[in-house]
Amino acid sequence: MKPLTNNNSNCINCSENCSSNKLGCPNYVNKNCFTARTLNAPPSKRCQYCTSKFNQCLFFQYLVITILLVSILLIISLIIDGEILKSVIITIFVFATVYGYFFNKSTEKIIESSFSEKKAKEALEELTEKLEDKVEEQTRSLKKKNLHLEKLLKMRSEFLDVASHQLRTPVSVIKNTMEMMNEGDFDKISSKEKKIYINNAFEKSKKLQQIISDILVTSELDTVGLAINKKDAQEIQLENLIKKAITEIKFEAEKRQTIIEWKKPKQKLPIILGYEQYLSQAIFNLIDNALKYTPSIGTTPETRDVRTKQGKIKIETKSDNKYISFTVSDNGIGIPQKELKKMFKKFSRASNAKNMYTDGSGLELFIIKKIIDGHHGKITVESKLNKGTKFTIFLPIKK
Amino acid sequence: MPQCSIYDKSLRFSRALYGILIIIGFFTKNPWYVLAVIIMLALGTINIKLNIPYQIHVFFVKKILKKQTLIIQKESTELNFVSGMTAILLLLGFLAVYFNKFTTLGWIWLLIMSLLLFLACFAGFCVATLSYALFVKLLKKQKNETPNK
Repeated sequence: MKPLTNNNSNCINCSENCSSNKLGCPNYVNKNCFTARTLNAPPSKRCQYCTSKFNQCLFFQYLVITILLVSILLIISLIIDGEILKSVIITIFVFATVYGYFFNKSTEKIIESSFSEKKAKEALEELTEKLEDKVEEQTRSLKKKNLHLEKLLKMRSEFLDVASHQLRTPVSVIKNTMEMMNEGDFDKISSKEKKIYINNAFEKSKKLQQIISDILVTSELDTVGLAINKKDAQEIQLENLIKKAITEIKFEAEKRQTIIEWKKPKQKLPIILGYEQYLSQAIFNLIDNALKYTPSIGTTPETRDVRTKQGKIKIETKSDNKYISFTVSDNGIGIPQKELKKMFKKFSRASNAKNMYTDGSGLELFIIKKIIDGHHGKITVESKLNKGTKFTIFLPIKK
Repeated sequence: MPQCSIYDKSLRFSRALYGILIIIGFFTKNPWYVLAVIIMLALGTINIKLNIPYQIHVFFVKKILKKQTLIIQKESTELNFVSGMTAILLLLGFLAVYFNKFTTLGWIWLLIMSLLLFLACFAGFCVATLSYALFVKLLKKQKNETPNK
């Protein structure tokens, strides 16, 4: 049986011409009332607000009592007067119908207004509940933001500390060299020593440039972030980037007398999607990092912790169905095991690395991780103190 | 179930008019007049278009007064049943009066019937509709029981 639609009736819940079957709507069927349930429609307009059982229906009770009373009155009239008096009939009928009419009208209005009141109360309770929830949510959000701000403030303070410290070292070397030149001390030393001082100042200016560049990249990655966008991403052959990075770093490696060994794959590597500029930087930084923390057998000014064993950096690339892996392993100073976890954090440097180089930025691994994350890849690190470190980057293949 | 749109006020008017006609029949003590009213009521069982008081009210309100009235959807079966049931109950009273068996009770019966018609109109509770609901329920129950037999 289809629900009946009451075209012209207004609905308190919704709007005019409502077709919903919620309580208060014209098509609401009171499942407790057998008449409404059987007819699959409210038998009367007031029934759309009712949830009572049929035997509790006031109108049904009124009808039963009226019929009983009228029947009794008519029979009494018949017994007393021997016939049913017209005046009795008229009186009874007028009373029953007039009372019925007003009973119907007033009850309908009472039911309707009580329903509206109930609805308003429910809406108010819901609103209060929602408001409480909203306030709670806002408080939570504010607390979260506050924590974030506190974290940012702490980070800023740390950043300023580290940045000022790292910038101060190369700047002071350059400044001292210039001061010596200005005061004429340079005339007193040999040309060989002069060359060392000038070279040192040049190296520090390069370092300064590197630190500033790292800080700028970090700031960009931190604020804007990097996320690969298929629309403007480029198709990249990773071998080309590795080749380019090795070419760039080759001269420095030769100076440090460190061997860079690239085990090329037998088959061409699959294409990956990404940003060449960033991936180039990540690959270069990883090889450069390995070179920096692999002590050399040479004794040039750039070398630290001179040792007898040959420094060696191995580069390896592999691929499977999903990823290309790029591994850089060295036989350098390694990273203490307990410090491995924080290696990808901003300004984080291993304790032995700090001893080796006082002016490292501690940003390179952070930048690499951000770039790799932005390319939906991952980076892992394995290390043994004084034995060497192995970094592996996994980048997804273009589908 | 086939449904039809009907004018609520016109339906109520027709019920009230039938009630009045029955009371007039009682006052005049004319069983043939009552039978005529019963036949008129029984015509409504065939189609709502044959419900004369209803059609008169619709014509008066729509064509003469040109007023918009509340339209409700009802099952045509329910309407037919209500008309038929009323006609049969009134016929019982008429038969009692006609055969001179329980004349007084017959007239009381007719009076109560007219009162029920009035109540259906003014109090908005129709006993015939209630009977229809009972009837449908019984039919459904029987239908559900049949396959098990």
